[in-house]
Amino acid sequence: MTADPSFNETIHAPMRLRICGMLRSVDGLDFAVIRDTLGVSDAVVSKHLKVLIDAGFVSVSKAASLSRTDGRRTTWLSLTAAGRHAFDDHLQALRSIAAGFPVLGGLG
Amino acid sequence: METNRPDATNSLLAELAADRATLADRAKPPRWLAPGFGLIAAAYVIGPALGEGYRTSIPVLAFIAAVVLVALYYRATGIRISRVGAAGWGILAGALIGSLVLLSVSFGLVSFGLHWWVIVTAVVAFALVTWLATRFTASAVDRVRRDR
Repeated sequence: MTADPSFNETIHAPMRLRICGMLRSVDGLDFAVIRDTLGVSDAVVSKHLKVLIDAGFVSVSKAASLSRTDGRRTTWLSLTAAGRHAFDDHLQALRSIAAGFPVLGGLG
Repeated sequence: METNRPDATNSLLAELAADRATLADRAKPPRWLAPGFGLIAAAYVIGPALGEGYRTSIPVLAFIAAVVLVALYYRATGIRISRVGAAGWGILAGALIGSLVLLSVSFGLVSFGLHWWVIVTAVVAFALVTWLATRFTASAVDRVRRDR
């Protein structure tokens, strides 16, 4: 599928862009992996994930975890089809800008 | 933040690449994963020498063991990967075909009464599938690292 370069303001916030970038390269990530890779607190990750989930770009599922001792379940996160599409378009827009081409609707 | 400038955008793209590299490092499989699949293949190939009861149950047990190994890998790394690309599917097909060929050899050996020689096919299956599983996971991790 060819992506059309178009900015997405929801995705463009740096933390959300990085979350989407990580999720785009795999099928799913444990919440803790995202938090550790970004090097921020649970609360910061949760805040940005909530925006992405509300926009329909990220889906969440819970799974039992034998490795946890506090009875909480592992939270798995994935990009939805809409999220993949929006991220691909946004990434294409970033690449166009990086190559020196203006993008309609770009922030700045 | 000024994001319509090529230098600012390049910095964002570099961050995305760095995150992918971090994930790829984290997705590297534990040492037991490839030998685990090798053991499953060896158990599958040795089946004909174990008698009728084992012949039917071993394929089912092998499948369950493979699913459990993948689940353990996901839990150990916190990363789920199932898109493996053409190279990955080719390696997987090679492992399946290789195991089936070795299973046929095991059946042949048992039909000639050479039960103990099945150990040789099991060792070959272990070595082949361990090697292919290593290649398979390396290919999957490489896809995580690579730019789309």
